[in-house]
Amino acid sequence: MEVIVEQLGTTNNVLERQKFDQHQVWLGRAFSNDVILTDEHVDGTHALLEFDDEGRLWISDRGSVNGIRRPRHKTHIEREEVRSGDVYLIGRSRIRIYVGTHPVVPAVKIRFSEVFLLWLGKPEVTVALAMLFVAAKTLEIWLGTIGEFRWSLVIEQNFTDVMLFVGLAVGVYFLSVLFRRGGNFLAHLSLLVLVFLVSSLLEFATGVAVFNAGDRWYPALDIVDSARGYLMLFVYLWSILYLAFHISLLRRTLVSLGVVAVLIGISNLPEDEMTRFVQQQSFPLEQQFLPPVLLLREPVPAEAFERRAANLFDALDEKRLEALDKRDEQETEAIDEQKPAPAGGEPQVRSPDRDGPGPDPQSARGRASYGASARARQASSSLPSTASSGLREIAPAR
Amino acid sequence: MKPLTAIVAAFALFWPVHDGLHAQTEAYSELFETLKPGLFTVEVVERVSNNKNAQGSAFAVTDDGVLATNYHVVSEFVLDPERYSLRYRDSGGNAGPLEVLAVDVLHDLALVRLAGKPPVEPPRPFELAPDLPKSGATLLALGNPYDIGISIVPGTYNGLLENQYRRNIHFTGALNPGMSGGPAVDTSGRVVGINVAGAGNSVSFLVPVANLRALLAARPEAAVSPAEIRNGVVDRIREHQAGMIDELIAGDWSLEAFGPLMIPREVRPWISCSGSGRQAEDEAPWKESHSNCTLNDRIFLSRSLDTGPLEIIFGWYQSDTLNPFQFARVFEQNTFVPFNRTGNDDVTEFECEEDWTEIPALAGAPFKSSFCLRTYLDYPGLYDVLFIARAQLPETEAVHVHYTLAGVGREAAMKFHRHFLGALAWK
Repeated sequence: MEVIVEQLGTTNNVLERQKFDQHQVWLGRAFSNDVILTDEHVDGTHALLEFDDEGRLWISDRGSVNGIRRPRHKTHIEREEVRSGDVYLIGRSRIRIYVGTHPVVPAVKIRFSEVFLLWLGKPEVTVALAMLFVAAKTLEIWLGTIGEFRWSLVIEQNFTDVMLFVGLAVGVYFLSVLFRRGGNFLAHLSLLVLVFLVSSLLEFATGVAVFNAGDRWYPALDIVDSARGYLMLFVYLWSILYLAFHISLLRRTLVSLGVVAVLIGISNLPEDEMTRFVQQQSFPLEQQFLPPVLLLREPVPAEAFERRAANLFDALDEKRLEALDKRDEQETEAIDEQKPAPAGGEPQVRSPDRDGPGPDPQSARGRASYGASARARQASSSLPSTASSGLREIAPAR
Repeated sequence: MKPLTAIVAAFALFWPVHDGLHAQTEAYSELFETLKPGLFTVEVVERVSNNKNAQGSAFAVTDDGVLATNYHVVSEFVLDPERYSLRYRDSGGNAGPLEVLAVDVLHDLALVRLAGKPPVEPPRPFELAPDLPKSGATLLALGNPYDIGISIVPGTYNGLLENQYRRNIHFTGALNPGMSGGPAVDTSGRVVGINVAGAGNSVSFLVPVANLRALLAARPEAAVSPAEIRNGVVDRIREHQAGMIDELIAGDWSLEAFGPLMIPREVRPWISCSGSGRQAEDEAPWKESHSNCTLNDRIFLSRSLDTGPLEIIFGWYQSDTLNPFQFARVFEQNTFVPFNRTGNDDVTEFECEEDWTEIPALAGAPFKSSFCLRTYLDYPGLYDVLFIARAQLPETEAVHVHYTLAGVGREAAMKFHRHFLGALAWK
């Protein structure tokens, strides 16, 4: 009868594994034992594993100070039958016991994605990808540079990117070594370059879509565009968790999803008021132009577009009501904020005779509807002045 | 004998001139004394803090206390009567509240009336000149610059401005802040215009008195509430702008060559056009040309908001050396901004329809067209329109077509849109 004794770490990770083909296995701190446990809380002769005549395995305490128990149980075990796979605490040491006939799960087939990731680690693949990257980058620079094309620019940009990739790959490599998962530096590097290339390709495709699209499609394409970034990040994390840390399929999927979800949450925080203001001041909505050959659709007939333009007036009337409500709210808030803080005292207090008839809420409403001038004074300095026209109001002197 | 002759000659030369100057100065000060009792200072006062928020000038136009001034002097009161009050001071040291009778936002005019206890002596109304003087005539602008005291500023009448739709008088004389709403009179003391704006260096503008006469004729008997006054503004502007667009459409739309396009230029005398362009250079290897026509004639609505101007821009780009990607990148760097002045809370954001469209008059090339619209929160029914159409042609050539309208109603806007696009052609 075979018995296997595993010494475990705190997370049940296997530290040492021994196999015995005998009736009795002694456990303890003394060197006469079969399994020698270096643990001050373990007795010289602490426990005995023993098969009975019917082939059942028993564990028994040999009069130890700290006894035998199961993890998360208080009761000490004097003698009990061991089922294959049971974990015991002996002193502070954790051991797991199997019998030789204990079944194991079938082997996990190496998936294509995993083969592919390992294939990325071949030197010739890395070199090929790196060359493809440099070529793509050079093409991009050549197409995008409006002034004189200079090779120094290509070298400079490629050098920066390559350094960045190498730096990242080295980082992952060391982390991987630290966790005793054996590096695979070239695969990390190839993976980065590949993810970047695919992302660039998708970006170009989105650009073509935006170029072809009308305003109805812009929100969807915006989502597609940001989804591209998240997708690439997911793929990279998912792959690196396998390559560098050998984490199982389910866990690496969950971890990657979690990281991406957190990032999406952060990036969708409310927009800054100022960006909104800047955005609404310059048009068209989408500036992007590409060569005419990439326009793959028929234009809308003139009458149809004119109808859409005419319908926009109704939409604006609704938008105006919303904007009015919003302004009213802000005004009311502003007034509420002012009220409890009468700075300096006397002039802030409204005297009823000067204020004219009407209770306070009414005056708040009046101010809300037509009180543009006070705020406007702050805004006007930042807006383009009418000076360019050569005309200037004679601002009534203040 | 020689020195004596010289002295006599000198006298002969200078005496009459000197005498004339002297007499003129005398006449001005006499005139000033006669007119002074009809001049007023107008103040907009914040009710809570009792702070003076704005100050301008006004002058009596009837013997029962009706004064004329600029709308922009009293606008804060009209827009927010809960917060501001309006009061006057005259040259005799009297002061009191004012009420608003009527406004003409198009010409920046307002009629106000002395309210409360009437002054001891009723103000002497100014006489309005029946017609415009000859160019070169002397005018005297009156008012209270920077609130330092009633002043008289002599200057020259230089005709009506050619480049405005609501044509103001071009007055050569220094108008300063605070003189707004004061009268500019001829040498016999009759009002020719109302001080309204200055462009610096003695280039100033007056509202022709005919507009004041029209406003006076239509004035109501009793004071009108600021709310009622505001309500009239939208219709007035919309009708006015519709009329302007009709006139524009009926103008001279004969086309001029502009790159591959045929485009309109000075459709009306009040549309001012300029052009700019440049040849391909080493650092910017493409040709570029722009035609820019504007009507820069603004309607004051509040300190932060004006409306009314119009802009028509065409652009043409061409390159022999750039590849199509580079050329597209050059061309896409065009952006357009609205033409009128607005504060944060005066207007909605722009909403746009943007798509590839046909323009029948410019068949053969698809245009990426953007039709953008915003409206005024306090003036429902008025819109600003911003239209852009961009197209690339074979041989790395591209054009853009752009216009903006401000403060128009929807019918006028769509009418202009159709006419404008229909008027273009390929060369």
